[in-house]
Amino acid sequence: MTRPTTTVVSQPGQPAAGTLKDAVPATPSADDRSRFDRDMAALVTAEREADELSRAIKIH
Amino acid sequence: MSRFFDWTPDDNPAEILRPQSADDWRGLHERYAQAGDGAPLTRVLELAQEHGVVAIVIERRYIDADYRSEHAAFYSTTFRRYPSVCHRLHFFKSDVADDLTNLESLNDAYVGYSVMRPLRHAPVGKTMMAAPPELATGTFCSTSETVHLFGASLTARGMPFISQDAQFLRCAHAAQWMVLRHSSLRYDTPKWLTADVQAAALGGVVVGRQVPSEGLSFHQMLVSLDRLGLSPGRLPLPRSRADSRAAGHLSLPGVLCRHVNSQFPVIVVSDSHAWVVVGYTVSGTGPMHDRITFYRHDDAAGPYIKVPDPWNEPNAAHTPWALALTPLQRKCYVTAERAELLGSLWLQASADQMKTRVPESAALHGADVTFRTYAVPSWEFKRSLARIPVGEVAEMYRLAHLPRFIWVVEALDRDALESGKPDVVLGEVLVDATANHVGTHDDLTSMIALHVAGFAVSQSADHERVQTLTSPPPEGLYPSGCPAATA
Repeated sequence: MTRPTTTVVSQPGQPAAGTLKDAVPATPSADDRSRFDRDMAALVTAEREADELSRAIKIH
Repeated sequence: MSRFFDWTPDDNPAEILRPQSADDWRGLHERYAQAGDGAPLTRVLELAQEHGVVAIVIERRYIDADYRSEHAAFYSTTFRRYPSVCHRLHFFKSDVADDLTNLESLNDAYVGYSVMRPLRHAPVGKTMMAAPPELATGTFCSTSETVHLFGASLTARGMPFISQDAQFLRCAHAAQWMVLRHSSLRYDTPKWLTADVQAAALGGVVVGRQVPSEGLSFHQMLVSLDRLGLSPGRLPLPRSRADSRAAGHLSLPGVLCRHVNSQFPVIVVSDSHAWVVVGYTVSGTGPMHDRITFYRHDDAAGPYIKVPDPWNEPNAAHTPWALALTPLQRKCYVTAERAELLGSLWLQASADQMKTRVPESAALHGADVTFRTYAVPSWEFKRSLARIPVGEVAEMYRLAHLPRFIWVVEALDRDALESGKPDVVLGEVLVDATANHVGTHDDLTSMIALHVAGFAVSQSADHERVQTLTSPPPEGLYPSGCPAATA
């Protein structure tokens, strides 16, 4: 039996050593990383605040 | 018209109206709404006039599945009889033939339809009408529906609308129905009827009688949307313009626009009312907070209501804009805010670095970078890749294995954006919408790809294979892939 010819298609690009983090052009600065942490904490706080606020709401 | 037997007085299939004067339009309003009621109908007819409607075809025995479900669950149980059939008003910008033989040729002139329920206190049922002309240059949620009318197939485009009847349905039900019907038409999720929405919201944290409905709690809305296939999130909205400006990524425009950009209409609630934010326009120059105008579907006021200032509402029912209920699609586990925080962090760092490497002719050189975030079905994202001027990057995206939804964080040229140019994009990050573990700045497992100024990197899901490519940086910007902007 003859096997059909197959072609493997791959994504363009050169294999990079290491992880995605190693391959990106730059790592965020310490200030930007700190801002991310603050923003993420604010988001979590806001979601909790939404839960508190929602208890008093009656929508009609 | 209010009496049972007057609703369908004969067997004629349709009526054609050609309103020419204000009295003609007023007469149509009085035909369906009782005096003092009917703000949604007023708005529907106003919208028709904004579109230049010259002919209205009234289907007089339209079986509307939504109203029929309300009838089965509620109106059939009352001592007074209510008709189980509706009228459906079809709006055309060109005249129709008296024998209705030219309907198929009028598709381009079709503005949409509005179902009239046999309820004079709340006549406006399912409605699908085009956004007002003033929103044509804005960003808005829109979908399409094929309408069959006397042998013709017509396409209605817009954001579905329905009003409450203040008995079986309240604004909280109506707002959910609008979001769910849009989802059904746009994303092929199940089509839920109004009675399905009412039933899904029963139980839980009850705040009054359920039938007739005295309203819903926020928790009931969360539960019913989840039961009906969406995955709602919730965020508080800043109570003043100053608070919003200070809120950064949690500003009112920020939260609402990320979802409208994604074709995810947002339910906003005050202490007592709910409405759906369906679009926005941005005009002039200066801070975004002073330039943005929102549009909402308010079941008590009608479709596409302009809101110039969310913090200065004339009607107390709209004060304050307290909470945003963000009805994400089921497989959007990552929220818009988390995707933007991660994507913008790494995209900003990459853009800053690439600025030092690109020639002065490159679009990135000297650009003031800002960000736009949206979710999009990956097939739709791939279909729009021709807009990306770097062929290798487009090819990398085209062949990438992607989840059903991705979050896209775009780096934009602020000057180009504020001057209203169509080409504004410098690069983008693709985030896996099913990766709900974005929490730390250095966890990039949810990031699928990053591209800026001709440099791109991607990682595969299964083998975590990382690939990079470097192409000459484009000299020009390219259009956004934002699904709402191109609706």
